[in-house]
Amino acid sequence: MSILSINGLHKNFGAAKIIQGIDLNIEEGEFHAVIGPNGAGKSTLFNLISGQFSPSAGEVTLHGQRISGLRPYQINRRGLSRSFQVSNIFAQMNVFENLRCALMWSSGVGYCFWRRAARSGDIDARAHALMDEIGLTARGTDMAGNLSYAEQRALEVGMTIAGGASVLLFDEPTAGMNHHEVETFATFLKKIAEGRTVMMVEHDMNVVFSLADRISVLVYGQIIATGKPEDIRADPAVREAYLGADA
Amino acid sequence: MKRTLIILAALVALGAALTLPYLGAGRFVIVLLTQLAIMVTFAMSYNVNLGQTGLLSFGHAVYLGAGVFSSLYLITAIGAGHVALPLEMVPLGGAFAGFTLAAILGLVSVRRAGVIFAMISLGLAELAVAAAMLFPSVFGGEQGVSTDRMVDFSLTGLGYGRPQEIYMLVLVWAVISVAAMVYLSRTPLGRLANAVRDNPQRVEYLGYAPYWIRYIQFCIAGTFAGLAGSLFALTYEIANASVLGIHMSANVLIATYLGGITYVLGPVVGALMVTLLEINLSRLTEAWLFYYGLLFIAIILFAPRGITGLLVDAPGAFRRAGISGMVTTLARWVPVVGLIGGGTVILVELCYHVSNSFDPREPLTLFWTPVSAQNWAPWITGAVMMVAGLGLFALNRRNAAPRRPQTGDAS
Repeated sequence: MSILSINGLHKNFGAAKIIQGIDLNIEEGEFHAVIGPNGAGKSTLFNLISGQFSPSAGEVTLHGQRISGLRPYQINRRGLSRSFQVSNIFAQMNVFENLRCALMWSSGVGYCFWRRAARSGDIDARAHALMDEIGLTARGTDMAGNLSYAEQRALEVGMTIAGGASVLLFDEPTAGMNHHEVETFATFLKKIAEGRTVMMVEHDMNVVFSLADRISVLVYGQIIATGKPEDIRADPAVREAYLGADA
Repeated sequence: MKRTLIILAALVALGAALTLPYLGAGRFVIVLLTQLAIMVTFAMSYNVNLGQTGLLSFGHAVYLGAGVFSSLYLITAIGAGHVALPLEMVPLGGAFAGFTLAAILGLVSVRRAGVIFAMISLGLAELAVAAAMLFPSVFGGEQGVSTDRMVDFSLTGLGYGRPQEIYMLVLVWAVISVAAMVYLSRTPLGRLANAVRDNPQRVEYLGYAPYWIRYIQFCIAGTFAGLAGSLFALTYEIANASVLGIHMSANVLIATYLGGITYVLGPVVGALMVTLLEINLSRLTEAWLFYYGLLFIAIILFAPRGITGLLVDAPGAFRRAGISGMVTTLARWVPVVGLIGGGTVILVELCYHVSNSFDPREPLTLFWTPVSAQNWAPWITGAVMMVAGLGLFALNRRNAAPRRPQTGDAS
């Protein structure tokens, strides 16, 4: 059974039909990229899956349970985590605190006000390990708002994976990076994706074709093709609608 | 190192506060210290909302008021023998009242932060004042409600009639409250509150509901505000509805901001500063509220992280600049501050004297010199100082090296 499945998903904003019937199944352990021209509805799709919006029709299921209509924090607790196109971090807190907040819930720490954070289970150790994993140990005590852009992106990804979610949604993880940074970051993402199910929106075709197991092409709120990278590359409809226009 | 310093400073302050009454400090000092302790508790509770959770409230005095009035009635009830509670435990009652009110009003307040929360808090504050006016039987109208704290039922056996005795009680509760609030800021909830302040959307994607975090923090703030209200009731034994009004709420906002909202202990500094200003400046000059306002504006413009921010930054700035750098900086800025400050004081005092004094022809004492407000000389002196100061200020700004963000020149 698919780990994440989207059935007959529709979303309208007033008269504007942004998502017009999407069916998609994401298999466990898969790296699935969603591509498409600007305004195709990629971000809306992510917002529908992660709970920012609720769908006008259709549903999303995670591990076979319906999640559409739930609040983002409820969906997160069921094991789905997302990153954002614009770095969405806690700017006035240091890197360590950012990561610690991100992994607290999965460590069984609730809205606890009777125990010091440092004494709450192993969250400090986990935060340090995670900081190591994303290569930000040297900046642990620096304010997140003062990090470089690439470092903020790494922190963003770190916070997304912190809770140990089984399904990750990455919304344009390499947006705004230069060539060199993109290469390093793609390697980093590949490492992160091991053992997890990933769905990613990305504009950089090199990243998409090097990382993705399968690709879906979204145009005007509909998926016009889903398949392996080589099939997508060869698909005439895709070439016409998307890749062709770029070339 | 920094931590030890802070702890040391806190211990010294505490030691001084504890021993002062026995070193023959006069009644005035005792009353001042009592007021300080109350204000510190209240400002700390305010910053649980503002600095830690990002909730700008214009109605925090409502929860103070809940503590004040509930405690006044509680003390009376204890005195009459209806409630078997030692006087020392009255603040628990105030805290409970503050908590209850915050738990009710919080449900409608904290759905959103920012402007929406601020406006709701303002509306609720107005509502509370109006309600207090509608029920003079409960809130005592203009005269207020009064009680007598000498209830003959205490744990320590003290009568709490003398200011020294009630001061000790207030101090103990204030220290407990401040310590509790510092502790709370270090818990997972405290950290999540900071996270919600910075970015509520992200918090929601980390498995937590921002609403609940705000709500719990709001209740904590209300609880300690109620406790501060209790200390107020114990100290003054009388209050009318003005304690829960906008003026009181604005006062705590200003104190907290002056101290520095980004520091957990910032409000302590702010409350000390404001209370000392209020008491000492008001004895010196009638225009003290005016200066108070000017100081607030200056802090917002030049040191947005408050007095605490200045204190924290100062050692680093000294180290970076070196002795010669310090001397040039001081040589550059001391005249500016002196001229603008002096000019302002001269002009403001002259204006107040002309418009407010019993007989404007009487000379007034300015900087230890008697001057006549009917003369042109002092007016011109003030104006010239002001203009010269502003001119120097503009010059300094132009000549200044590229400014580092957030260092803020102390003025």
